[in-house]
Amino acid sequence: MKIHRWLTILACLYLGLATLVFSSVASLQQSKTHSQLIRDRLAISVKGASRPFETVISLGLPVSMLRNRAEVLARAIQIDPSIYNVVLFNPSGIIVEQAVTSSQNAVSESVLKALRRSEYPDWSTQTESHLIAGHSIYTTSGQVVGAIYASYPLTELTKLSWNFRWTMLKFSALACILGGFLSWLAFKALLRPSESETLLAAEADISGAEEALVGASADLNVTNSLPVQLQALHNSDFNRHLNRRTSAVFASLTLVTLVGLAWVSHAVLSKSLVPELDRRAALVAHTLTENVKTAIEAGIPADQLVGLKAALQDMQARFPEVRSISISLSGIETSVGSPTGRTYREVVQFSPYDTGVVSVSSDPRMLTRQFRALFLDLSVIVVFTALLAVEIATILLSKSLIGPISGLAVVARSVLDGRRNLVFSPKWPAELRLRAQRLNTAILASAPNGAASVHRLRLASLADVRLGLFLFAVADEAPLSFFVLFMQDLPNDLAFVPSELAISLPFAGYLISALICAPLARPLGQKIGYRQLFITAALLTAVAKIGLLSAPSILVATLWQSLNGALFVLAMLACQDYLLDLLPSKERVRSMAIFRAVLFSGVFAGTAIGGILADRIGEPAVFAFCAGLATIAAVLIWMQMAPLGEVFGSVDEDQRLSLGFLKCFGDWRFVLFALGVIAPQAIIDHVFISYLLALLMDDAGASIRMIAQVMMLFFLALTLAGQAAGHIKFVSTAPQACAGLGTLAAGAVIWHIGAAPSFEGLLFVAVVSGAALGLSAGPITAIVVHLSQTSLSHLGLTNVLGMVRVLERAGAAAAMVSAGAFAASFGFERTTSMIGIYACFAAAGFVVVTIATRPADRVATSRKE
Amino acid sequence: MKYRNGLLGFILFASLVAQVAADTSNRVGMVLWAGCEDVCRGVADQLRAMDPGIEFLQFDAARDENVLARMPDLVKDAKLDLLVTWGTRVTRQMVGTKAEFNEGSRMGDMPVVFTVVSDPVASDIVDSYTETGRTQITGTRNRVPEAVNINGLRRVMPDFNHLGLIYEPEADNSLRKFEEINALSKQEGFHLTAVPVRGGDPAKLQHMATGIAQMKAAGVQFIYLGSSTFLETHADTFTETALSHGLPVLSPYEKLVHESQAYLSIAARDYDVGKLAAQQAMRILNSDAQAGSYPVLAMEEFAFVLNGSVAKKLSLYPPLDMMQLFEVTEGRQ
Repeated sequence: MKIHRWLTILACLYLGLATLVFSSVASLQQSKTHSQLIRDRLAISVKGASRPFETVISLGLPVSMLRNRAEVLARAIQIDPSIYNVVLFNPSGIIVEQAVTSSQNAVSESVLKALRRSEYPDWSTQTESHLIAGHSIYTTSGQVVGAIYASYPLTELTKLSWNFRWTMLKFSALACILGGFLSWLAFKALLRPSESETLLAAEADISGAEEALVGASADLNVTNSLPVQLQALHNSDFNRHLNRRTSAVFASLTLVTLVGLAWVSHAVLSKSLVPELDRRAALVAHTLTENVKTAIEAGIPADQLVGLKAALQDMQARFPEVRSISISLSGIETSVGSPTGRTYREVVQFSPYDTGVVSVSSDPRMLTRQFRALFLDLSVIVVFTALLAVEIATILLSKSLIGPISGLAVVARSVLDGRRNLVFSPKWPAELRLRAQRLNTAILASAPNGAASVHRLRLASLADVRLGLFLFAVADEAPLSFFVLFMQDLPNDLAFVPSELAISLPFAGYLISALICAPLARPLGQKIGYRQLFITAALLTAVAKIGLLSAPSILVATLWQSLNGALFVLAMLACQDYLLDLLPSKERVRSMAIFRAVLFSGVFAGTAIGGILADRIGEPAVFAFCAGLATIAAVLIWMQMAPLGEVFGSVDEDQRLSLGFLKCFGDWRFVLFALGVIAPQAIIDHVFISYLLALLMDDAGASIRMIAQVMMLFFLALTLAGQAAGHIKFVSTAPQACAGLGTLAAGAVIWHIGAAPSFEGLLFVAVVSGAALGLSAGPITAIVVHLSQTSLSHLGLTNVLGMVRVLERAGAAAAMVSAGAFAASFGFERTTSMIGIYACFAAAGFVVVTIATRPADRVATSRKE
Repeated sequence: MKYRNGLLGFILFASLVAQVAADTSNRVGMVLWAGCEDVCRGVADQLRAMDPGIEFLQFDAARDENVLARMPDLVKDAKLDLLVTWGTRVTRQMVGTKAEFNEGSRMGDMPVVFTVVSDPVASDIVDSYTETGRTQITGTRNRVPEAVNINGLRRVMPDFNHLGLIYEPEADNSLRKFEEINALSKQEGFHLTAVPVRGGDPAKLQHMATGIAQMKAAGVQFIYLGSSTFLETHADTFTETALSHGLPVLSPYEKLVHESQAYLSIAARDYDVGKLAAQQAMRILNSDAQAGSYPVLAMEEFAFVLNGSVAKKLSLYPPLDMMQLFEVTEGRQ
């Protein structure tokens, strides 16, 4: 069996997909970065143009009353001739004046939206034809009384974008060719038959079966009508062996390719940073020059310019990137700041008699900050692509190699054991399909009772749901980055509810509907089938996303988002229940850890990609994109997930959900588990991470961008720990200790950080908390299943699991309300410490009691259940 | 006979058309204090631009109180469709005050639009800018709030704290302006040295000259024209005297910066003020509503105009940031 050839093909396909995804997202990022850089440049002219109007306002007149306003606006175009137009407008969007006359009498809705959304005087946006930078003008009491925007045509950005795409295309093609060649070499070296005993054994079995059945022949068409026998794909030695080798090659390829492409992207984008900084320094210099020229042309002698120093100080304050600015005129040098870093210098003829030199030094930290921001943005894209690539690789390997070989091996073993009651029909690779067809023909012909005794083998595994779940989570989370802003733009049709409260209604609706539906997921899935439940929920999610996109008001959006919450929890839990019912107990901890890791990978990826997409294609398009992703997830699940209902039959009476699930609290072990692990982890996740972390980081001086990146690190730590948990023996052998100690560790660091919050400390806490929660996911499920099979066996898994799911969500909601009330009186730091203290003591109690109890009460997944 | 009848018919038709045309073309008059200047020209041009057939009549008091006293009768006899009045003195003479006529007017049912009235509320011409309280009277306003002038001075001269004002106690508008500036000085925290000028023009000129000298001695940094037809009429003498004492003049009338030696004005262009009054007049003429139902129309454009040559003579240059919004004129050399 020449697996290495097939793996090479897979690797090429995989690399093609990975580079396509990376290039697409990096192109969006490039467009966003360059768009922002150009808009930042434009902002300099806008700030310069708005200064006289701010003076007018400070004197007590409206901006519209300045008679020479058109002339003042036109000066910005004299400073930067690339500007298309400069527009002065009032807060309702009516154009008061513009430098270039046009028939337009109101600004576009996107400009008004950008103005309304900005908490700061400076804002920017991009329309279909222009890049726009604006500056709001305030009264002394802080009310916006007008704004100015300047626009550039998109020509420069379009050119930069095409250049970048061409570069990415070339390097992606190179990466695929080189990667394919290297993977061929690597697989050939790693999968030599002499080193692949298990593969050899499987091949020997298949060959043996082929020999045993030589000559037999039957009609293959009956295969599809045979009853299905579902078997879980065990994590056998063969699978592990193949996984190890292929994972190493795929991971190396992914890492090298993505880092390489990211490096190329960074190099291309970085090339724009320094010239852009110089252009901006030049613009600042031109603004100063123009101001001085205006004064000199008005007759003020060059050596008697009044307020020049103050003007320089004002410019330095308005343009934070300016480290120093100086002007040498008539032998007098006036300067502010000390020049460091890059300095733009220009000799200027201010009048026929006055020549001077204007110098502007840019703050070198500005460049460093931009490099760092760019590096982090590209790192996020690399991680996003890598997470998606992992899921793609998993499904590729599972469905086209591990699954087919394992299936054939099972069938071959059944032939060699003399049973001849299974057939198996992989679709590809061609070599395995042909061998399977030969085997199937022979089995059908030689089966003791003919085709009637033969079953069609179907293998099921975690890989069935991974990509679908991942994409579904991405679809759910992608709008999160702009959802509040999207809500703010919708009219509030609930007049009795304040707007600030109204925009939180969709979130409340989402949480409440998720809370209500969580315990219903399992009984519903058992009734209609997990596959049907997921598909229905995913397709309805697509409808809900479209509903959100076209929602005319906050109330309608709340209804759609509530539906979204219910559907998300139903679909997600359908996948979890599918695995719980399918997988053998010894693989449960590992699989549940990976399941949660995949889920949070999707959450991370959705959060990471949502902002970039919204910035480039617009918010409505992101909802449509999410609807598309949810539909793809439904299709993937339809294709991959086995219809369990057909195989396992109907639900037992004792598995039905009832109010009896409250009896869980009658068992002290459950109570201990709920208070010691479930509740603290839910509080850490939903209260500390989602609420307090951002507030504490804000207090510590972190920007919104930094807060988002730390949140992503939390998700990343959770994801990686979840993936790693599958390979850590302790996690499987001692799930109670793992869950308890994980909670204890997270509680301890949160307790500590509450006493002395700092940016670095919070970063550390986010990572530790993420890792703790990631490691605990599998053990928690194992403990729940264990309880449902021991002390709570009379309630059944459905009820125990339902209770846990309610506890996770209701506990978080109650804790959120309590934390808000507590924080109002005692502050965020003490609230954080309280959460840490509670988590520590609760988890310590759980660990101590668990250790003190007899071994029989401990969960040990190695034992047979 | 046939031709004769036809000719008679034509003449009859032509006279009827002429009668109709004469009936539909409006007669607008404007009462002036000191001849037709920029505001008056703005009114005339805008009226003709909006209605080419309009008849525009001027009634000039030629700065004579006796002539002004006869104006109401003259205007009534002219059977105007609408009257425009220039300045506080003229307006009070033509329409009387609220105290005298309550909602009515000395002009009876004739609609009146006043302009160049510095403070029509304080002068008891109207109740407020939005509700005039007079059935047939409305107007325009063309001055920035005095606080804007003071803020402007502070931006031009950061250490400004002493203002000089020359006013005519006998002129209601001028007296009101003094009271307003006096109140503002307490509110905004600057000293005010106010010099009254009384009597005939020679006496007033004498008082003005000595007053400016007193102001200089008292440490005044800026002289504000306030509201005075006398000073406006003798703008050259006034501003040159101030300049000779090294004192800059802030004028509420832009033309004093362009045509005299005033240093700075934060004002609307006089010609534009006239156009605004004409627009208000046409709104009334083209509707059935009574003039008093229209709020007093505010001027919407002002300019910061600096006399560059005066700035040079005084070596008093505004800061760089203010220069970005100034219109600079060299004035009359």
